[in-house]
Amino acid sequence: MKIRDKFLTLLRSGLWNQPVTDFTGFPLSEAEWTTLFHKAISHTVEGLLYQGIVTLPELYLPPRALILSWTVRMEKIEQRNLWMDKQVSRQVDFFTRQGLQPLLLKGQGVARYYENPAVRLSGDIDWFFRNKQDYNLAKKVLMEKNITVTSVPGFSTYSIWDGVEVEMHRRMIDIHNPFMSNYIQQLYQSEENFSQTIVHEDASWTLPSPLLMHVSISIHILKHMLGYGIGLRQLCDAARVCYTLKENLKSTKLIDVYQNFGVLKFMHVLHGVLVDYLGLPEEKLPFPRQQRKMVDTMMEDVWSAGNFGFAMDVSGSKESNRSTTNRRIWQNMIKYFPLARMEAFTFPVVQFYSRFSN
Amino acid sequence: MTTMKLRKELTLRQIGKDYIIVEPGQDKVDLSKVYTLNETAAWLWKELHEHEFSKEEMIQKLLDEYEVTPEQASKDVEKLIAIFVSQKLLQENHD
Repeated sequence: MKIRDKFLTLLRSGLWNQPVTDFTGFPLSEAEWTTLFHKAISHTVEGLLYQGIVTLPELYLPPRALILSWTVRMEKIEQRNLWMDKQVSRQVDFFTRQGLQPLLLKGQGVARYYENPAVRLSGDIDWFFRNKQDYNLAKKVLMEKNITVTSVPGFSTYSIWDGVEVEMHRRMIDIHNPFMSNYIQQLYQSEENFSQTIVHEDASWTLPSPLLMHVSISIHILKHMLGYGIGLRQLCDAARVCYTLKENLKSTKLIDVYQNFGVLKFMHVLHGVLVDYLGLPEEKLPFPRQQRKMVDTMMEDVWSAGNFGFAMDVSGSKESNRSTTNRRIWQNMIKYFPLARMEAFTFPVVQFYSRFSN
Repeated sequence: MTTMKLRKELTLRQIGKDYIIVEPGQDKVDLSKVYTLNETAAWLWKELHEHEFSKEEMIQKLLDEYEVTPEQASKDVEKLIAIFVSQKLLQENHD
């Protein structure tokens, strides 16, 4: 618990660009710092923690060797983000020349909502295409460039394009309830005119509307909570989106969306975690919070899982790992079922179906 | 007057009393490519980072900021330039 508390202290400092002021529990031992470092990596938030660490008084800093290693890691993250930004711009340019204007999801787009975008480490580039024709055209033009385009469950594709992992999606919102398809399409259309444009150097990136940004990130978190689990990076994204887009988020419409999806209870739990553990000011929530008992449980699950649940499956044989993972998925579905009943039920069904229809 | 310029891709980071520059592009953590500067050197780095500069300008900056003799400032600058050169912290098309 001490490690988690100090971890969250540093994370909050980096997330909100505020120096650490509570030094309870510091200094940490070398072993504790090492644990914290590896935990930060497992949650892919080492950049944010570093931002918090540099505000510590000298007396409370990590051992010098760890500082140097972490600083090298920071340099790599920032260099990679510079490179990823260039890749996004190049891909925007390529798609534009094909008459396509996909929306940039997650990753480099969400990073723009951070005080320092360069410290948010992204794995890949995600594009959303508004209709099947655009999606199929995008697949075609990539294949014409001799890029292998592989279909993956969930109506998406995966490619490696000039050294960067790229996913293309027909769905922005990971709601699998089939009765919601028409509603979701109408939602995309109603939000079309509110898409955001970010100018990065000479390129214009198009991002979803603030509402769709909030919904897609939140539902993405739910999807993973029902499966392998999810780490702190995505929760940090959700917190930064709430904080930055508060004035642009339509509270009433957002509540309607989550009620229609049957996930409003989950949203109150998620918002509780963002406020109680990540330090999001409560007044920055897009709608008033309802207290829910599962907040501490969800935080414990997130903490244990690491990024996309990988932290929990690091030891043991392949067979024991698979059975441990399957058990965890089942446990997660049961645990979060009361918060999102239809999704907990339909998610595995639709994942199976989409393997054959992408 | 010979001018120099610091490599613009290098970032100076401060942690506690340490001023650290990391050579970018490392595939693995190679601590031989991490440079630490003292406070004076770090201050000069920040003053000079975006500009072309000469040895004489470096000396003058030290004299303006610190209470040192011209001889001491000149010695310190020569040491620092030697470090910049040996660690390849300068842009290549300058001397």
